[in-house]
Amino acid sequence: MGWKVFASSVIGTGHVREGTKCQDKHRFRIGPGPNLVVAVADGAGSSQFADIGAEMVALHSSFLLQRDLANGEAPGCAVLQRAFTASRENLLALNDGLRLRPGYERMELGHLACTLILLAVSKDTLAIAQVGDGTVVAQRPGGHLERFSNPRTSEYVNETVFVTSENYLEAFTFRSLPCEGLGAFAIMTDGLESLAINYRTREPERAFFDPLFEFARTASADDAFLQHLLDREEINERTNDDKTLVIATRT
Amino acid sequence: MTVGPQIEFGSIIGSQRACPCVLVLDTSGSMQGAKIDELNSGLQILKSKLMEDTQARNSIEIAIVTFGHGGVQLVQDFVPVRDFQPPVLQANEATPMGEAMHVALNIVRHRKATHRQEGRDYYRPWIFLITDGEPTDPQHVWQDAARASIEEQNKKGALVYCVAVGDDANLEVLARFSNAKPQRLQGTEFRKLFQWLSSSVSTIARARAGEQTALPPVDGWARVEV
Repeated sequence: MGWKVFASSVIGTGHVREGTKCQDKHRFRIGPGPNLVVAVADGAGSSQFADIGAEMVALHSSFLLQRDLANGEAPGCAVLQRAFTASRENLLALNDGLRLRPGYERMELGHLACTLILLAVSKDTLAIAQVGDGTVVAQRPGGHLERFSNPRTSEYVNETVFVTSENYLEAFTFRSLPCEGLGAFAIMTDGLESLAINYRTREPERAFFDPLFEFARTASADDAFLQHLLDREEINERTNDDKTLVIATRT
Repeated sequence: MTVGPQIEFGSIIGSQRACPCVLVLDTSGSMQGAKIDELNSGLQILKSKLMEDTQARNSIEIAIVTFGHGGVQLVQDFVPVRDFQPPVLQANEATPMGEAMHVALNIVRHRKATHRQEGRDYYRPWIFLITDGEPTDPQHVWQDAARASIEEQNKKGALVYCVAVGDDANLEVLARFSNAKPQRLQGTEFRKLFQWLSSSVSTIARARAGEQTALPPVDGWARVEV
């Protein structure tokens, strides 16, 4: 039993207008066996090289985690946290290296700021580690949708903690649940939350996720469908930020 | 046509985020003539520019406090951009700027409390103070308002920006209301000012903690002081 995965990061209309890059990045790695690793990173608004920071962190953390799982490690808190710390150290090294280059002397770690959601699925466990905003929604037994996200650290919706922040470990959260009965899950960046989460109940919007998971299970679901969906006017009306959605369904 | 999931977007409540934005506008006697006319057409431009940005249309809410004509008036309490009808302002009388800023700070605090009660997410509110003069309210009143404005910014309660119109506006006084440097408008370039204002507030959703002062360049409308 494995997973079928669809993933897309689409640039926000605001970023298109300003000529900036998409700062949302994702990576997923399937196998070996039933294993699956997903990393989703949201680069910080006007941080100059946030797209690079997000790309590096998603790439590196997912690589390390896949390797650790392949080596027989269970997806526990310490294993996921190690991938966070290592990918952050990687950014520190990148920053130190860039500072040696003429023109980049004033480079700071904060210029690479991004959030990170790292998710691991083994044969029997789904584990989620997170720094910053963004949400994971899991379809539990009976079709119940459960939401996993970090508590707000600020009064304002767009202020969050980044992997590059000094206090990132204080904001690090870890959750795990059994895979049994788990039908599907989705990971999204903050840009999609205004659509996917009901503000009154704080619960996932069934009207969004039920048809989405259902469609992802059909043969019609191809690699392009998510990108088309994320580009729809109905979504751009709710957010002009970059938006990432990763969906996994059981095969 | 690409096949995709059949999502009824109309039935999704979601969690649309609010971005409160207050314009504190000088309608004193010195604003009569071209200035008030340009300010009024600037407000029309603000509305049309914000309507062009789909998210701004749905998240930004505008309030207008005026000082001058009729004293201090809450001309417009917070209203979503799509429901905002730009008022036609008249100019005369004195310049009770301090009292107007007190009102602006109060409605911002009240608005945030309402959003919190309703469980709505919101961005840090913006206050834009635009004047061609200096306060005529008693010194202790405007100084107290200036202190309150700085305190609110220091505790991250709101962002405050000041714009001076013409040579008679007192930049030193304005500087006491804001942690950001006040800018002086070129002539009566209210149109460009409000275009800038529109694009500034539209960036908010993508701004992040500690970098909210990274606004677009002001060179389209601000005068370089020599």
